[in-house]
Amino acid sequence: MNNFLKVAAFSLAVIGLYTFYSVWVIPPINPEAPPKEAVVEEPATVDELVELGESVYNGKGACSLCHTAAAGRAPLLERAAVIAGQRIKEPGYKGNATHAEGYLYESLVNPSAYVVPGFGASGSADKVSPMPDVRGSSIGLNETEIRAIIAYLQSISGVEVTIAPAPTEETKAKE
Amino acid sequence: MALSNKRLSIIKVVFSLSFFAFLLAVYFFASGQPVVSAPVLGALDYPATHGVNRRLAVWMAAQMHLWFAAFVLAVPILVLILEFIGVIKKDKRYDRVACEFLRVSITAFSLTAITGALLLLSLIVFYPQLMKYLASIFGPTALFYALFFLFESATLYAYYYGWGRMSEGSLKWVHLLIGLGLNTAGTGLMFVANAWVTFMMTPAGVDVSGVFNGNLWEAVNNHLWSPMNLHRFIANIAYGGSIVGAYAAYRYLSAANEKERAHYDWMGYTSSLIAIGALLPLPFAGYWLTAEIYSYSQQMGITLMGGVFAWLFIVQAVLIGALFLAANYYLWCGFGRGSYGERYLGYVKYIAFVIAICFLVWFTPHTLILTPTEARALGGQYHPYLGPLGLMPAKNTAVNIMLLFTFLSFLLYRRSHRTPTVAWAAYGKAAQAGLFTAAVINITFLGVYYGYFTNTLYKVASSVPQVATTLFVIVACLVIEAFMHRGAERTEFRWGRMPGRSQYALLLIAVSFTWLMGLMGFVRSAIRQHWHVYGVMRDASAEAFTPSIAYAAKVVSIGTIIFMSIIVFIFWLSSAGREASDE
Repeated sequence: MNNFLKVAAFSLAVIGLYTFYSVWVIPPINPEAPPKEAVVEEPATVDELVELGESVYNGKGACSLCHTAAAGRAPLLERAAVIAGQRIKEPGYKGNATHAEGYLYESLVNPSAYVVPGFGASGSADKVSPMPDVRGSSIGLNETEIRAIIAYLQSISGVEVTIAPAPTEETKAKE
Repeated sequence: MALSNKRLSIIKVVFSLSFFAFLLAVYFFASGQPVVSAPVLGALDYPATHGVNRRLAVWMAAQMHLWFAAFVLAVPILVLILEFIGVIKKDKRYDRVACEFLRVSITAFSLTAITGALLLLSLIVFYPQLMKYLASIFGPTALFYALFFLFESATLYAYYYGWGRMSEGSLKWVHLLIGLGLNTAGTGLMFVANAWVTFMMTPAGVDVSGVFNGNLWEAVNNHLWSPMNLHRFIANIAYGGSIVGAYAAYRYLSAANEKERAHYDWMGYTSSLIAIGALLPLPFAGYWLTAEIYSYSQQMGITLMGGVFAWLFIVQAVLIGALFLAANYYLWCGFGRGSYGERYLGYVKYIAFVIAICFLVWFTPHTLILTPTEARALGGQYHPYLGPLGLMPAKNTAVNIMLLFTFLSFLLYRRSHRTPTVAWAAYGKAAQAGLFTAAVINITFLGVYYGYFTNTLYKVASSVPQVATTLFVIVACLVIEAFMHRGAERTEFRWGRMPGRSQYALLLIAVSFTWLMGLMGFVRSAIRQHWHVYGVMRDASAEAFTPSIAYAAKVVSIGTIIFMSIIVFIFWLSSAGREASDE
């Protein structure tokens, strides 16, 4: 019985130490509450569209998780809209976009159409992008949110925002 | 006693058949379901629980089932290996200890089935829509599960009760074959269950709108299925070894005479050797699992390693550090079993120093949770000097070196009872020392160069050549060691001479392993965040939030205490049964 008590006390002490460390020593972090499924209202102005894009970029879209210098997992997007215009003219570009806006849209919904060298999925020789189609998976953006992100990228790149608040027949045809 | 054993067996068989029938019912229920798209759930899709925390209830049932399942899947593997070694070496000691291992686990089989049934029932009651969706995809696998379960039960009883009758001649080989069948069925069971769990994390065959339009094999063979199978298979062996080691440690401390003490010392050593042996490749299987998580979803990978769970890996480092230190301490204490052990005691402090340094590197957090004032004072979220040590390449380097030095402890332990007599022994030892040195330099170079001077995507990729280096050196040193000790001067190990405190190292390993499994089970499930099936079926219940590490630690601790208490009761039953049989 003596040994049993010693072994039980020892085991409880070990469990107690691990609990103490996890509960009181490491910083208390409470994960964020699950995001609410809000209905996105169609922005009325370009400014509202850009504002929505910024919020999706840093929130629901989770873009800033990878597209940062600290993460280093994906290309930086500060000049994405400028680079997009140059990229479609490069001989190495194999995607289907014919204009900068289309390239940005393609990068969001079909990221493997063109993979920036050095940022392909491991072992894919830059043929497959590790980025998901933003319409699916855990991100699940709708068309308004996708257009808002493109508007936001154009805005931070310092080029004219060509996305209209509501899709016109012309933009539908381009997409 | 014979009568009560018979009754017990009848109860077990009846229970097994009932559970089999239950699984068949699930199969037929599931096979009648049409394939549907993932439903969008609302709070009303979850039945009222009247004060019962549904997630906690399922969490506890799942964790208990996993602990028991890991134990009962691992022990037959250890038993089969030991029985086979006993047959090859013609040493009855292995056979006796193998049979005792199996006796220890036999009651746990029933408890595994009971906790499994409890888990299934609680899932159906608390999360009916999720189960309906999963059943619509995985229905046919329930039949495989039921058949594996039936085959496992049949082979288990044949294996255990046939031990005495099939102990000689060709019947012994038939017995070994039954053991192989038992292990195949057990592993198959685990693979089927893993398919369901991994689909919830990395669903395959689902289109962007969440409709499942793939086939069953696609759903089973999802991104994480193979790495999870491998990781759990290895971890189960390590876990089973550690639990049996704890049993042996307790029996050693309570031994009534020298003979018993020697027996349990040998049993503790053998089981801990298996546990440590399986522990060595486990981090590598973990890397593969993590790499596949990143490959499926960068977002999920970052949530796991760089987000709210970053600190959980610091807790994990503490536990793994404790496991390695305890394993090394046990080996160092074992130097006393050999006649020549004393000559290696001087190396212990250096090995301990290296392991402690590696532990501290692993322990260094990546990002620090700071107040804005603290962050300004520090110049950012990273410590200017220690920050780089928080990155994965530094941790990969540390764990590889830690593994190499644990292997070194084992090598010295093996030498504590033998001295090589071959003429080239000095060259052999020099070659081993050279291999070790080259490996440490190579592992450090790979970690530093690829980890800090290349693109982020290549950082973790450097772990593959690091692992290859570690494994190569372990195998090469073992080969040299085997040739070098042919015809060596040997003395017998003096079993039963270990100090009592060494047995607490074995207990520490078992408790730490149990707690660690609970913690890692939490994070595996928690990285799905507010999704039942990641990106496909959202959890709309009130418990959809991700719990904090502190909360999870409390749940895991309570679970560990309950599980360990049941295990102690099983050990008591086993020894009581044995004493009654002896009488």
